[in-house]
Amino acid sequence: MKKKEISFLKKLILSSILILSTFSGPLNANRKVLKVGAIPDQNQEILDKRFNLLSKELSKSLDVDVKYIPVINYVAAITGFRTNDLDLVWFGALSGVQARLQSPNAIVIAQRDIDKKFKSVFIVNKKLKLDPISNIRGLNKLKNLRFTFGSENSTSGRLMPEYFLNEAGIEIKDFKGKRAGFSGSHDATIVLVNSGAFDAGALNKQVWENNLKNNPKRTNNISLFWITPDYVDYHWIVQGNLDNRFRKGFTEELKSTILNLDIKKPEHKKILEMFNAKKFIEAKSEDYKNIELIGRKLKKIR
Amino acid sequence: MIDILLELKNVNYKYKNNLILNKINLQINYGDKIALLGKSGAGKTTLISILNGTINPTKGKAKFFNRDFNKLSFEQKSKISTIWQDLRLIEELSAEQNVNCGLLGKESFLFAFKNLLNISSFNKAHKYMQICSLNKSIYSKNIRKISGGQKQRVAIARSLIQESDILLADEPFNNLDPKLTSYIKNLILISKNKNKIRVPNTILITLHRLDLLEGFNRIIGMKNGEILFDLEKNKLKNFHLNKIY
Amino acid sequence: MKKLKLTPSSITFLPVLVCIPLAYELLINFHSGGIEIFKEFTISAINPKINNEIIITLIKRLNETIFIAFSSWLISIIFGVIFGILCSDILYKFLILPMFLKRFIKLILTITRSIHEIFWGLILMQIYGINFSIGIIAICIPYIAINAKVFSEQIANIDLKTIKSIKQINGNNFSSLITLVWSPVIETFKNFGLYRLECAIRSTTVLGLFGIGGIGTSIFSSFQSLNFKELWTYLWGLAFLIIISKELFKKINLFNTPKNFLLNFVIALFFFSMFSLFFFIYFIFTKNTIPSNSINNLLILNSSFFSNDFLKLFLETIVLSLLSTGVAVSFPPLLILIFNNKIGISIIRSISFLFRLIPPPLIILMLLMFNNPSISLAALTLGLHNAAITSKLLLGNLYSQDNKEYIAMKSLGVAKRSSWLLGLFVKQARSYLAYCAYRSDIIIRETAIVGLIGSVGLGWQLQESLSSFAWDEVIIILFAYSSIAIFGELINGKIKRNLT
Repeated sequence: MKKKEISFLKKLILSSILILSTFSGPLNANRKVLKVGAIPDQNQEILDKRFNLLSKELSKSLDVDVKYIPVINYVAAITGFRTNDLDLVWFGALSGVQARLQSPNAIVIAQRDIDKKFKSVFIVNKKLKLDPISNIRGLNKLKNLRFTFGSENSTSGRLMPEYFLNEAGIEIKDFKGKRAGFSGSHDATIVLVNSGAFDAGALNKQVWENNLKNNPKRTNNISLFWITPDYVDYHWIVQGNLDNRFRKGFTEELKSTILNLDIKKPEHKKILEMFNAKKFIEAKSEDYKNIELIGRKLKKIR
Repeated sequence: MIDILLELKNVNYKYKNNLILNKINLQINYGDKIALLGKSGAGKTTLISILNGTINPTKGKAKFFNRDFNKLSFEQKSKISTIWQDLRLIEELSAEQNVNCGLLGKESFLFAFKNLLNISSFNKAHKYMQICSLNKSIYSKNIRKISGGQKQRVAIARSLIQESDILLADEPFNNLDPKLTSYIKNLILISKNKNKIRVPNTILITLHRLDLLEGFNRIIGMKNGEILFDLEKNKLKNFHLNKIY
Repeated sequence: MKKLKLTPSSITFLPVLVCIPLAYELLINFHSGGIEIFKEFTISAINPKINNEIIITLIKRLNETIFIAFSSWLISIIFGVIFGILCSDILYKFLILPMFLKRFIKLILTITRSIHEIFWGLILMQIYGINFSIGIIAICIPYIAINAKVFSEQIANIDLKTIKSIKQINGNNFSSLITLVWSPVIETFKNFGLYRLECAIRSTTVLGLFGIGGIGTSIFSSFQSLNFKELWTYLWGLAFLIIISKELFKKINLFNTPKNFLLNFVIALFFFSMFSLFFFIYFIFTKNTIPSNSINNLLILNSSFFSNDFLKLFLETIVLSLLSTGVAVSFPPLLILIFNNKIGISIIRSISFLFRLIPPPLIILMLLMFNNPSISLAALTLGLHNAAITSKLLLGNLYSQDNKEYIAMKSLGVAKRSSWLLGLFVKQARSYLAYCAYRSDIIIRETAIVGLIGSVGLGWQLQESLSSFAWDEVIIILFAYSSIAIFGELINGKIKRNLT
């Protein structure tokens, strides 16, 4: 071989090694990290703070690396859980059921005290001059109006409101345009109803109350229409193989760490406050049977 | 050594039902310096295309070094070089890159690649361009930006750099002034020249200027796709020329 | 009465007729309830949130955006060239390969091209979960196909005679091939590559809106929580990125760099592309794929899905793309004609920059503050966003051309607007229309974006089906979608051929 070509070959090998080493970093990711995720039901900033705080606490008491991975899409959270990109996820009721159907080994470990009795609200634009109703049958007044839900896979912004509408005898095709909108988030629902782009909408009661308190400008043109009955919502789900990956009894340790968060300890109080909860309580997958049935009925679960 | 380099036997060429070449029989021997005469439309360009293997005869046989064209090795194929009437340079490349293209037959893929990146060695190309009396200032100029005569010389340099055995040239003196024409003609025809470059021994050039016949040893006349005469230079008479013009 | 003669110039103004149905529907749906929010939005534009924390996130997000956009751009250009050569005639002239291979590759490319990168992103996200590479792969798939089309069109322009003459030199086949295709590829890269980088940045942003990462994710999450000040910080950051990347690339002239560096650069590029190819293959095969029960679902097609509703969505998508093409074609020349002075044009320039900058989903959410959701609104959104892009091109071409006719007309005493029309615009009309035909290809694909949010067309149904993990429906929608896009591409191809 000519001298020239040898030097050329040298360059080839050198540059390829250089490039391979630069880009292969993500391939050898450390497997001994507990990856925490959550559905994006809130402002990302709040979620970041909330779960970073929790990750720190988990890391301290379990003595493993814990990393919070922000997710912006419900579907991505479910798929991320299925593909083992996430180990511990804060799911809503519907997304949790969907996730567990796709990852059968998953285990439900906990929920908040408030999740046992969760509520949604229906709101209407003041222009319509609709009085609040006390009975579910009153939902009939929403017929032929432009109606918006929040995110497609949200339990409090879509599934349960649609369920209650059905109970009252209203189907999606009874709305104006034979369709309901999806604003994408609870906050967006408020703004869209407030502006008049939609006549009515449904959302998480917590978010509604927060907005009433902190953003009166945005709720000027809205009146409360109806508050739904109780249902179960958010819960923690973990992968079934954590004991194998970390150590024996790891899942149990993780569960007790979450359940033992104590509002009396200042560092725990901060976390619980971020979750709007007083404490976490035990949860079982049976609690969500009803949600699964509703999900199947509304074709969100196939 | 095979003396007959190229051979056509009863070659016909049809294009869209027009008979362009009719029963051509031709042998090109080692050392021939052939001038191919004829009016435009006589079929000279087509004949050259058949001789360099770019088109196949419709009927009859074309033999190259006593073989079919597609049975030639690459080395044998690259022994035939061509200067086209319409030059066929690559418009987007510079003059020196175009000349280097002539080396593709001898060099590796890496060379082609480096040539395009403009980082190959241009020494050889420059030598040949200098011999074709091209000025240094146009070496790296884009082909689109140089004059017709300069382009013509780039095309000549590209074919000479191939160091082939046979040169087929279609009106290579087209855009050149008289002084350059005789210079280039001598360059091509006189094998042992002072520039110490290898020039093909066997040459076929189409011409329409009769004053350039000096230096050739064989004259072929064509009309309407047929070869009317094929003589040694000293046997050429005026009436021969009258037949084809 | 004289008949209206169809010339390129009159065709550019004709589509303005779509404004009649558009304006009608928008007017009857108008409401002013969102004025407060809109005020907040506009005021925040000049008063974005600036503190250490947000600047750090901004830089981090911009970094991600640059990484996704740049690598997908690079990969899509490299493989675009490779596939462009693979489906051009010239390859088959040098190497003895069966022609059906070419037709097969062309078909595959047409299909992948017809589905918007967002769809790819959503589907890949569904299959592989959250991963950085999803964004790159999602952008690469349609981009490679688009680039391949452009490159192969340019390669097809190589003179047959030149091919023959190079072939006659009898170099090694690969040497001859590369020598021939080099110049068209480089020329196309120079003219088209930079534009694709801007497209890649924009696509990354829009993909980010659907959760793939980068600045788009921040933009969308701050918009969802209606944090406008933060939103504008991110938007201006994005604007900065687009402008800087353009200026930088104008400055860097690859062909003047030291020669050894250039060679190393090319080798590095080659290995980068090879590595990315292997990485994609690794990625696709190591991640566990679609759960088996959903594959079973594919086989049981849901017949109730083929209802009138589906047909309606299908038609809506077509109407939506027609209306928005009308807006995108006719608005720029009309506006430039009406506001034909220095101030007017600089205003048009800055407004069109804003409409290019703000991703369409955001535009439609802002317009929803004043209007009810409807096809017209979605069409207006998409039309305005694309008009911003076509107007950039039109303005660029109009004022870089020779203007002696314009000056001659003006000196004849012809009114300013007429002389603009006859002296400047007429010469550009043909190429502008050809570009618009190409743009309308993209508009058809982009109906997906506004569909997802504006609750019109197939985009909406896709989001719903994807989030219910109903793969049978997803497949049907994709099929419907790509058939519209392919049909549109065929028509546009005809128009383009007639124009040139």
